[in-house]
Amino acid sequence: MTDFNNECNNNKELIDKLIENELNNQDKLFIEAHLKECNDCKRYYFDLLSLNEKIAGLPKKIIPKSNIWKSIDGKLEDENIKVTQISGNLFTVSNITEIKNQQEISESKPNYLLRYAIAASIILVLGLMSIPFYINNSVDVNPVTSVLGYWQVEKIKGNPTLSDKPLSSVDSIKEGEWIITDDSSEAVIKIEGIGDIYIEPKSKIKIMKNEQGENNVYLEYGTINTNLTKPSGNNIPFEVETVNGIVRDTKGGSYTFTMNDKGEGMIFVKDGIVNVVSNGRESVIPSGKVCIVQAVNGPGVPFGFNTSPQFKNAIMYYDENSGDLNAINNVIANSTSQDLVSLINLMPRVSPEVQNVIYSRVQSIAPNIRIPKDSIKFFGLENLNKVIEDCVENSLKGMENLKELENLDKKIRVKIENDMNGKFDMKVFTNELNKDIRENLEKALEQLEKSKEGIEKSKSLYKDKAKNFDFNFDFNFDTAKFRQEFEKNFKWNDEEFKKEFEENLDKYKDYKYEYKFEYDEMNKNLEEAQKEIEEAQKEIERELKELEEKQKKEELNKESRNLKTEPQNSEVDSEI
Amino acid sequence: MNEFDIVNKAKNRDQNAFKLLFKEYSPKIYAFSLRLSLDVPMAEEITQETFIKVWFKLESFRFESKFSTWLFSIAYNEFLTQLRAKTRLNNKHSEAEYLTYEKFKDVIHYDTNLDLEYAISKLPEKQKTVFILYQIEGYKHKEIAEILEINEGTSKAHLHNAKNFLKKELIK
Repeated sequence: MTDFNNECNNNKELIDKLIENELNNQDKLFIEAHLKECNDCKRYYFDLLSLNEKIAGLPKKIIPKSNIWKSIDGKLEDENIKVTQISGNLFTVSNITEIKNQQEISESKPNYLLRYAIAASIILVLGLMSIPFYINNSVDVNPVTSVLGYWQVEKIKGNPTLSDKPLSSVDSIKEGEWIITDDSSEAVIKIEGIGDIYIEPKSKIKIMKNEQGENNVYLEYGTINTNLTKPSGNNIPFEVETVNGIVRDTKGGSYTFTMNDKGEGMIFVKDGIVNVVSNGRESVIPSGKVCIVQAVNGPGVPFGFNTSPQFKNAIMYYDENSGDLNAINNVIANSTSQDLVSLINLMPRVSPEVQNVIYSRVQSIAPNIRIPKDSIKFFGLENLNKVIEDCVENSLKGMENLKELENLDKKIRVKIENDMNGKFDMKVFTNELNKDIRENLEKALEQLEKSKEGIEKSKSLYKDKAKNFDFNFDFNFDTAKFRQEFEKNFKWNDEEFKKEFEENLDKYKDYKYEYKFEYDEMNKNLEEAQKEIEEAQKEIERELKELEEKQKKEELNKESRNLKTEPQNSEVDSEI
Repeated sequence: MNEFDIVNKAKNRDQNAFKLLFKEYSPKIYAFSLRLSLDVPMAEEITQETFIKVWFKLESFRFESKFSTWLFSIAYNEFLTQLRAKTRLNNKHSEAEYLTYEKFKDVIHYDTNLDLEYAISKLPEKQKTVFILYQIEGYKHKEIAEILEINEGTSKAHLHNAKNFLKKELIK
């Protein structure tokens, strides 16, 4: 250790400055001369040099152990939401805010809370869009005479009949002939240049000519699966007619269509784009989408099979109540980016005012889909095909999901065969939908309960953090107490503490207010989040109650229908 | 692109520019925070909170000082905030001043001169801060005065005392 006499003590500062290169020439000459004579100062100088050397070797940068950017990054994106600066479970809060914004866009009833909750619990989200298919946007119906002999029907299994006679393994088929499959038989119609139509069990099909003189299929009831190639030459649409509409495939592709004898049905498109036309309505259904056809109202608005049950429900309610503004608002409020095709299909069905609202929604969930705003007022059926094609093409990039679509198609076919007993059954469909809705609502409630727990935890954490901080204590007027408080925590020697205290008094005051402000803000935000969640819970509970009432009503209707039919049956029985 | 441009871009909510600033300065802020706090999670939290505050307050930055000076001043205030919270929460003295050599070694997860770092860790908080800013980060006393809101003279005195203390500690 270097000891200095008084005189040399005065030189220490000069030596410090010499090392820091801060001396003027005169002082520099003086101290350099002194260093040659004074061993103590020389040692002090060299000690300092050596220390500086060691200090220079210390790392200026240290890489943190954990990935700090990762935790910062997420918070920057939520910059509008103050609460997200706190760590913890608060993404919930930001989601609620986001949904609020969505509500503003759609100007609908506050279904947003529900949707938030649902969104949080939905697991199955498949971006179902198709594989590439052939492009042609108009329905060209130049008639081309088909030769009946080109159509053949083959038995796949069981005992299908052709015009009431057992079907041989391969038969030619003529206009007006019926093919019927029972519980266990299947057949396939092979059409040269067009493709194959598989006929599932419990189906009844006839070959007929359409208005243009083209051979088509008439489905009385049952289920068919198509596998159609691109028609060569002119683009002649292949049509399947039903009691109340036409399923038209212009480009070739694959779909499953099931219908009961009341004219209610469902179509799932696996590949390509299919149009369903009936009662002045037209739906354009690209791959991955489902369309429900109702006996009276015709084709509904198509939707993704895996979209939220709430959205499906909203769509089906709209199909039955298309003039109801609440119904359309409900559809918009429940829509997400995977429901684009549905929203676009809605366009020709609504008034120009509502078209504008839908347009805003489409723009907000899929900014890459270009529909010129001016074209909205003219948006009709002719635009529909084109926009859906664009929409599908835009969503296609890099997607190879044929396998997913095939799996989904299989799932739907199993559902038709097992749950619907071979033919579309609206009751089974709505029951399942209600079940899905209930499950989702219950999951959402669970999720909200977790969010509430998270908020409680955050609150208690911050309460704990701040528990020793006396917000009511006024530093301005009681410096003695301030000092006393401070000394409890900081072990500085008296003199140093005094200096620190004088220097920093103002800062500590500001600091106290800043801390209090942050604490209050945080608590306010947490309270708000909690309120939002409670509102969402109420909304879900209300929806659950509504659902229960709806189901009860359906049960009652069913019972009353049974009561009406029973006496007739007994009459028939007694006649027999 | 110089730092002025990057800061300007970040001011205009350019997250990529902000990430560049983060990449450049976060290891420095973390080093500063770790040496002051001697507590890895706390140093990480200080670094994180500093950059979040910078992002949210960047709009108010008017280039009246160097960006790094402003940044360190936010980090230092964040350190004080967390130190106060920690000491209040634990209702005991800051651990930073009383770490044993064994505990200290557990904290230091980087390659360095352990004896010197340990000696630095024993410095009183203000001296330590000035010492780190001057000797390690290379700030001038004028800038340190700005960061810590003290006089330039006080900064010089703290540095002088710090160096004397270190010399004594290392010779022991």
